[in-house]
Amino acid sequence: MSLLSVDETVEERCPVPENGAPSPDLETTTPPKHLWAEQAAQVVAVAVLLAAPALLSFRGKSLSDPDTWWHLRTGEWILQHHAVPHADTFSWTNAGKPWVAYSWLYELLVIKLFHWFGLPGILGYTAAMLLCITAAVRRLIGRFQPDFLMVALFTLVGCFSFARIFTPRPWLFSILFFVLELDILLRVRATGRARKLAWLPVLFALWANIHIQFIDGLIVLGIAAAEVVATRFGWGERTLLQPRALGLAILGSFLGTLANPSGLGIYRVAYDLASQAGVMNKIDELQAMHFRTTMDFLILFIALGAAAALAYGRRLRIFETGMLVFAVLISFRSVRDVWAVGIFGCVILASAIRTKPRHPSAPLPRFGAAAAMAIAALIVVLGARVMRISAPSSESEVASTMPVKAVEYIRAQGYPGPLYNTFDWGGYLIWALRMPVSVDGRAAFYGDPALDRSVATWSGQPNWASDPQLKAAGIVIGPINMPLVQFLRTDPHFQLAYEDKVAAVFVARR
Amino acid sequence: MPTTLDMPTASLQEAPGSFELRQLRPARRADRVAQLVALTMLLAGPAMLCLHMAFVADCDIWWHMRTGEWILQHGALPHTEPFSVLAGTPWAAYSWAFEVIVYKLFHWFGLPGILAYSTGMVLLITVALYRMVSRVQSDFTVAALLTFIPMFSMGHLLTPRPWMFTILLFVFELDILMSSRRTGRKAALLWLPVIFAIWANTHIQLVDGLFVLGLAFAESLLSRWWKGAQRGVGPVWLGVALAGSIAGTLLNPYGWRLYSVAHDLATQSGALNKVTELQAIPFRSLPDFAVLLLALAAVAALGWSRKLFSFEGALLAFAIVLSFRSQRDVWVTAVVAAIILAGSILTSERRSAKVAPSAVAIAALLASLVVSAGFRMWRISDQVLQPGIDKAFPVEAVRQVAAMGITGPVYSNFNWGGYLIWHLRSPVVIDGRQNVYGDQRIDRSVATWSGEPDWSTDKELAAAAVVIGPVKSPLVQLLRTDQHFRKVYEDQVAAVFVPQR
Repeated sequence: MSLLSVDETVEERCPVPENGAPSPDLETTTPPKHLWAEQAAQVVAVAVLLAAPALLSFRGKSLSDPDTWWHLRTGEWILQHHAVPHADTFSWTNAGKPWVAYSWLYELLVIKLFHWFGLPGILGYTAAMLLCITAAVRRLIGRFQPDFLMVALFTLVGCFSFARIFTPRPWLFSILFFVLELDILLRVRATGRARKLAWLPVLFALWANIHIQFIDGLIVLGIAAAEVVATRFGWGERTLLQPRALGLAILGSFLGTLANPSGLGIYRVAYDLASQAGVMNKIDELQAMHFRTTMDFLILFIALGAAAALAYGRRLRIFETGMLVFAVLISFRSVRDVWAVGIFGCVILASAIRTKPRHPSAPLPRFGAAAAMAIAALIVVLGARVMRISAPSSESEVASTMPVKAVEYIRAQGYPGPLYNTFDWGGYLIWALRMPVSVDGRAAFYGDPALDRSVATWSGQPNWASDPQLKAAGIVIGPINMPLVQFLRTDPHFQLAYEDKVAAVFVARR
Repeated sequence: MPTTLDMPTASLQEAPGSFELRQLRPARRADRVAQLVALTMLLAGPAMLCLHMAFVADCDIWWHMRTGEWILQHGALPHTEPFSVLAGTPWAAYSWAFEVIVYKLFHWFGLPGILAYSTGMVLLITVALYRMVSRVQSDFTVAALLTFIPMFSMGHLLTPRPWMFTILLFVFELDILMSSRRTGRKAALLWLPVIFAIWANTHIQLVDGLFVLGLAFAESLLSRWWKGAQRGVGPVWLGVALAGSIAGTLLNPYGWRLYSVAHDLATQSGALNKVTELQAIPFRSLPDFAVLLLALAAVAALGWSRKLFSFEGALLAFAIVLSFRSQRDVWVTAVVAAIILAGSILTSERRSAKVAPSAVAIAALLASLVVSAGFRMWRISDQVLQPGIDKAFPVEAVRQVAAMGITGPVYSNFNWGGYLIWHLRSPVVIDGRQNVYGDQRIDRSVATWSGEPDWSTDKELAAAAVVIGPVKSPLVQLLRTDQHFRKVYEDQVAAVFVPQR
């Protein structure tokens, strides 16, 4: 095996002539008349590869994601009011307090999908985003690895590394934009064609209106800048990335992030999110990997393998090393960010492995990528039909984790609020009940003290009865196995009104 | 740039006037004194930190001490369970030597005796680790860093537990193996059976040590075909060492049954998700990230020196899988990464001269004096250590229960069971010995204490003579209004209920 530098692209190692015919440098025994057959087979294979993660997302319980619902409600609010909210209207505990809907563009998209296609539209969002992400990852890896099978393998591994977050959330945009940004930077570092950097401000302008993790993208630019500075002092290897072009791109990207309804205020939101340590320990997606599944160990060994691959080259590559350290730190801190090390690690590994196939595969034709994408989309649609993805099946999935019937009961009875609920169900109640909630998945908005209090009360800690929000509540709705539900059964201030296998509803005795 | 683990340190036996000899001249006295002071601080540092934390409120130390007391009272080792409602079921006190030691220390010195065990072991581990690292890394600064960072990364393990013996004996074993492989000197291998004989009587994780020895043996067997293998010691010697070590592990009161216990512990997957120390690294503190960065650095070092597929690579892979699975085992990666990095980092010949072996011994002695002085300086006594125990355990509640003369099964939780075994001397429903109780019992206990819907059907709760639980637990809130129980005591830590007769 010989090391293929990330700085060298496959096109530079194996230049492909304009007409798509295999390079005369490649030894091949494939006669020209079989070229089309091989290329067609490759297109189909790529299509299946692109469709795989999307199809997997249909099997997971992505509609159980508790945050989907308050995102939908926010999108609906934006459409109704033709404005982005600047104050909270969904909770009664924080009503009127300043709130930034930093994912407003995503929320608009999902509510429209819901209006057109119902719950299957939400699943379709996830599938479509995964399709795009897989295509982007494949394209990125394909630039550094000539072997078709290796590209397919690392693309699959990189994309499946974050299978646990195949959910309809705006972070899918962050993953896509991250890959696109990385692709642009690595290309420009290798080729010097700085014009591609002009896409970055556009990317960041979109990113800042979709998901707060555009901050990670800015950090990546920072790492690239650090490399440029370091090479000036003789550390590491120089690349073809021009300092001036990069500087302009960074400035443009930063300015692009300001093109959002909150302007500079978006950075305050990012700071608040990052500095709330308590939230990190309460929310499942923000906790570290549990290392109880094979995938967790696979991610670990991807990270370690990438470190070994970088060191194997015995060259100081500041950008790649900095990126790997950054990716490792954020991925191991929160399981939500494992995609960073999963994808970047696979890029490093793919670039480090070079095999000499006996029969070098023919290059994909010009229209190949587009054709593969179209076929993949068709496979996904057919897959949705085969797996019977429909409104009823989606509703059934929601009913297994959300208090669907309990909400129907409350609506039918017309019970007045205020509502006292758990963190996990707040989003669904915002959407389904249209009643102000006590807390929901916007963890940073409520802050550590409020979340701690809610968790303590629902966990049945000694002072549960003195929780002012519980005392003020008109309705309490919670998961059937929560300690608070057991306490309220015998509490004189509340009466059990409804119960099923998922939820219990108590109303205040007035 | 050659960077291999068997790169010998520079020798003074060069021709006079040569470049190498001029650069490696003997250190001046001032340098030697400075090095001695620095080395003393390095060796004493982790132990002093352990002393400063003054942590004795470990959940398991109590049932360990009770076991040690039982052994001394009966002049024999238990073969059946004597402390819980499962009395009579087979049980092996596999850490009996540790239990006797800590009991005697407590008996002579009280709570400071337990702390003395922790600090003493930390000091020994630090010395052993430094010695191992400095054998392959001549630069003092690098060796010091590769001692300090691993010790820092395992900071949360510096508690009075038998795993301290495992860490120490593992370092000894690794030192012997690496040294023999590097130099070809086989005599040191004779210590391995002795190490394993001690290990088998102090902690069950001797199986980790056997695995490493097995890896070394496999390397020697495959060395004929394996390019990356070192040929310092042949398979015959390593085979004899392995066989001798296995034989040494059988020198324990339970013989081969010890392996049955190890198997039971390894296959109890439920405990992995419930017992905090067995859960994965949470990555919320600097030591957590230190382990991760040590692992990455060690892998990078092996990649740089093109030794990924080697004994060191296999050892590191084993260490990483263990450490990331359970935070209790982070020490494995810390120690293995230290030796790999030590052998991989080449430094400029302008750096400081090697520390003499006698200096290490002197520094260790001085460090022990510093730690002893630390006991005086921080006035470590029962009075100083007791508040930590009062916060974590139901101290006053137990006194009240004893005063009431209540006997019979005590219903409590996993964390407090050991303390109640020691203080109340009544059979408990559960304690920290997960292999005694099994996954089902532990799950049932956790579900009841968490106030899950079927809490009231827990038979052991119904049969309890007394319930002692953390005042914040859901079960305590439920029992306040339960007609079958009556509260008899409550303070800021615990509540006590007895059945309503």
